[in-house]
Amino acid sequence: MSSTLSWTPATDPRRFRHLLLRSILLPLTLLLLLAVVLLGVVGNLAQTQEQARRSQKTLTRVERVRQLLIDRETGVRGYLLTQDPIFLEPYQAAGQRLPRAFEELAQGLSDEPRSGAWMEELRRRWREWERVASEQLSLFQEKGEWMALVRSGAGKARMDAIRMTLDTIAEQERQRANLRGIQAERAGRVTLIIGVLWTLAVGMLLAWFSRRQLLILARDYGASLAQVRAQADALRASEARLEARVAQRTSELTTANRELESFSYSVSHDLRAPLRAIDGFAQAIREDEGGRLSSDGLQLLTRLQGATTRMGQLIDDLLQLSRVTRAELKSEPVDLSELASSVVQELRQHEPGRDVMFSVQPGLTARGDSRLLRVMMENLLGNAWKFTSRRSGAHIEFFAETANGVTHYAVRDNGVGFDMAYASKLFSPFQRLHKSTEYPGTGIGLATVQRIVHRHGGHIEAQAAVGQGATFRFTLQEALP
Amino acid sequence: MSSQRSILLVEDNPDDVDLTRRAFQRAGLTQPLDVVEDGVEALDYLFARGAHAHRARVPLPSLVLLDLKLPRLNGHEVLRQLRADARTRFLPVVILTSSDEETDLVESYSHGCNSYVRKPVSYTEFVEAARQLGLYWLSLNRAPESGVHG
Repeated sequence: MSSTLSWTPATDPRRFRHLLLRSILLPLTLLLLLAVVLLGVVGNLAQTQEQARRSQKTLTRVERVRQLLIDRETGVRGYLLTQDPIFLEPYQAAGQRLPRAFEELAQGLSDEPRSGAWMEELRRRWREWERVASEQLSLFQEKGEWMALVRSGAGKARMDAIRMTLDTIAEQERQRANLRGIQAERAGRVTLIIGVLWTLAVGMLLAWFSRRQLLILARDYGASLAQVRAQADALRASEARLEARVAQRTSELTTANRELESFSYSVSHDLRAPLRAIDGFAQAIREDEGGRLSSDGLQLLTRLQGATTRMGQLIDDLLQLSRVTRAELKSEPVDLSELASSVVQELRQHEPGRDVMFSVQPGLTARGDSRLLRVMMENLLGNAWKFTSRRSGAHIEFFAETANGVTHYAVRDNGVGFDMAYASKLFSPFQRLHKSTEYPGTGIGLATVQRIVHRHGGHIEAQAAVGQGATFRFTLQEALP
Repeated sequence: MSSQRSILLVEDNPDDVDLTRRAFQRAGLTQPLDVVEDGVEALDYLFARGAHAHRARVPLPSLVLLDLKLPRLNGHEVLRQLRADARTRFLPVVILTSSDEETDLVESYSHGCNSYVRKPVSYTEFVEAARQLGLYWLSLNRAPESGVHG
C-alpha cells in the first residue's frame, strides 16, 4: 500500500486569476464610461461658458452701436443749437466708425437665425435717420426752415426706432444667454446625480465582487486546510506504520541474527568433535597398524589428517568472523605501532627462517577495541607475511597518511600482489585469489578484517598489481563513543 | 600418594572418551579413568547418589575433566553445584571443551573452575595437552584433602 503525498490547492490559480480579473475589470470599465460621460459634460459646460462670453461680447457691441448713434445724434443737435462746428466732430467721427460697429455686431450675431432680419432693420432705420439728419444739416446751411424739421420730430422718431431695435436685440441676446445658463445648470445637475448614482453602483458592484471572492477564497482555504490536515494525518499514520514495520523487522532481524549466531556457534563446535575423532583414529591406525601399512596407505593417512587440520582451521576462522560481528565493541586507546610490532614478532617466532624487513611508523595510536584491532593486524600482517614468502628482500611496512584531514593507516608489502580485476572479491569470505597449494589460507581473514574496520566506523580498500605487492589502506573512526 | 584415586571424565561423545583414554595412556597416566555421560550423572557420581550410592565410602576423584555441552545438565551448572557444596568446593575441576567463546571462559572461571582447556582438533596436540594436564594436576599440584566421603 502506498499513499502518494501530493497536494493540489483547492483554488485553481487560473480560476483565481480569472475571478480577480473579472471583479476588477467590470467596475473599471464602468468607471471609465463614467469618466467619458463626465468629460462630455465638462466639454458641454465649456461650450456654454464660451457662448455666455460671446453673448456678453454681443451685448457690448450693441452698446457700442448705441453709443455711436447717440454721439452722432447729439453732435447734430449741438451744432444746430450752437452753430459751433466743433459739435460736428463727434458726429463725423461716429459716422466713420458706425459701419465697422455694425459689421462687428452682425458677426457677433451670426449664430442667431434672426440676426439677418434684425441687422437689415437696424441698417434701414439708421439710413432713414441719416437722411433726416442730412436734410436738417442742408436746410441749416442753406438757412432754410430746419427748425421746422426738428420740431416735426422725424429725427427723434427714427432714433427711437433704432433704439427699440437695439433693445430688442439686446433683450433677445440676454434671454438666449439666460436660457443657455439654465440648460447648462440642468445638464450639470443631471450629470452630477447620474455620476453619484453611477459611482454608488460601481462601489456596490465592487463590494459585491470582493465579498463573493472572499467567500470563495475562504471556502477554498477551508478545503485546502482540510486537505493539508488530512494529508498530515495520513503522513503521521504512514510514519507510524513505517516505524512499527521497522521495529518489527528489527526484532525479526535480531531474532534471526541470534538464531544464526547460535546455529553457527554450535555447528562450529559440534563440527570439531568428529574432526578430532577422524584425526585421532587416523593417528591411532598410524601408531597401531603403521608397520603393516604400505607407504601409499601411510600417505593417505597423512592427507586425511591434513584435511582435518585444514577444516579445523576453517572452523576456527569462521568462529572468529562470527565473533567479530557479535562482540561488544570497546573503545580504548590502542597503540597500533606497538600492536604491529608484536604481531610481527610472533610471525618471526613462528617462522624463524624467513628474512623479512619490517618498517613501522612509531607512535600511531587510535581508539578502538584492542582485541579486535589485534585480530585485524594479525590478518593484515599475516597476509603480507604470507604473500612475500616466495621472494627475497621481502619488505613489509606499516604507516599512516593524512588525506582531507582523515588518517589512513596502511600495510604495504612487496609480495606477489594480485590482479585488481578481482579486487571486489577480496573482502568476501571464502574468496581466494591464489591457489591454496601456493599460499595456504581459508579466505576468511580479509572478510574478518573488513568487518573489524566497519565496526570501527572506517573503510578499507586495497591497491595492488600482479608481482608488485599490495597495499591495504584503512580508516578508523577516532572518536568512538 | 593419590595413585588409587581416579580421574572423572564428564563427556557424552564416545569418540572423545576413547581418544581421551588413549591420550592419557600415551601420556603415561596410570590413574583409572571413570566416565559419566551427562551432568546429572556427574553430580550423582560425585555426591554418591542414585546409581552411584555405593561410592559413599570411596574417595573423591583427584581431578574432574568437565565438558560444557552435556545432556540434561550442562557443565556450568555442574560446576556451580560442585562449588556450592562444602564436600566438593576445592575439588580440582578442569573444563575440557571445544568452545573458545569468551562468555564460556568467563562463566567457567566465575563459577570457580581451576583450569580451562580447549580441545585441539589435532590428535597430536591433544595428546600433548593431556600429558601436560596429568603432569600438572596429578603430580605437581597439591589440593586440600577435603570432602572425602566417610
